Amino acid sequence: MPVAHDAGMTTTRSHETATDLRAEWRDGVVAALTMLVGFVPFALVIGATVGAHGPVVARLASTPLVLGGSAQLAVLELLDDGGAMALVIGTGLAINARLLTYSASLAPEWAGASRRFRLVAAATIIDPTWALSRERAARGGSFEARRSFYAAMASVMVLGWTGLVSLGAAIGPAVDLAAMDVAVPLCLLVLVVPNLTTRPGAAGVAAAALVGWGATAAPAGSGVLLAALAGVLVAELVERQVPR
Amino acid sequence: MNTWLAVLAVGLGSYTFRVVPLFVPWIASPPPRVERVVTRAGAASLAALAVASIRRQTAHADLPDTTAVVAALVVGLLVARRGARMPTVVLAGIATHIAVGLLAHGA
Repeated sequence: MPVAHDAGMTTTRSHETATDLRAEWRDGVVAALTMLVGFVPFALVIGATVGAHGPVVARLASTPLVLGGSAQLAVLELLDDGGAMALVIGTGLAINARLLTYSASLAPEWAGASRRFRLVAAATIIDPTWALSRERAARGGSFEARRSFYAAMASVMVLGWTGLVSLGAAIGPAVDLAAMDVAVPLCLLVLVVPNLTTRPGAAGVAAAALVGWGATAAPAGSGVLLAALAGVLVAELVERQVPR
Repeated sequence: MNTWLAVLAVGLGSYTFRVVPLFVPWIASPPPRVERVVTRAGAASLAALAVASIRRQTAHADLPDTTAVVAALVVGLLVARRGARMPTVVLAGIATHIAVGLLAHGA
């Protein structure tokens, strides 16, 4: 009898675990879909940029490969402006360098995960997946539960984002609204605004904007890198002036 | 060819940024200064791109169109500073662009 009892307990426990993991999976899907709604305009703007010029396959492939809207937009805009290859790549990498800090903050949480999980999940780390992962980690639970949540959330996020950008690429050229052009700087503005909350951050953004404005005629898109350099230098200078 | 090269290089570099801290422990805790510079370099690049995009749009635009772009950005900035999310900012900016454009061309 004890054996049967134990077997029953084991069955119940594994059934509960499977149910919990299914609930985590469902929560991950819902979280990703909710987050994706907020990214629809940005995805469509990037999609319109993707569909504006050729080669279409390479530009469509940039969505899952670069997997960062701002870096993808920068790379495509600089390519369209005839930017030199080193500057295009340098700017894309400068914008995506923040991923180092996102990944670093996830490293302790994923330390016990399999090598395969880390290799695959790494490809999906980006602002929303990182934010949702941190939010889920704060609620606790087993690693299996959090992994299930992350796998569902990141899959939906990557597939949904790629789908939305592709949709933008398909309908963008057909919907030729002049007002849509202003959406690109508006999207970039939203990404920059959080940096305006500190004096060094605001000074860096202002310096980058000024240099960027003055350097639009700089050869082969080098204005963006010059502006980024100026922004970092000014922010660091102001940082040293700010009393602690 | 150039597009493929740029996409693959940025894609590979971005994946390296993502994967290395998960396998190399000392990179998993970068000094605060490095973290700060990395964040600011990204923000500065985005600010420069926004400005370049605005400059491109207004370079050959007439006064009403330039006014509409500037008004859209001012409204977008104000709405974003109030903590609104991207869809709200974009919709507010585009609505302002259309409204000011119509008014300025009608005047």
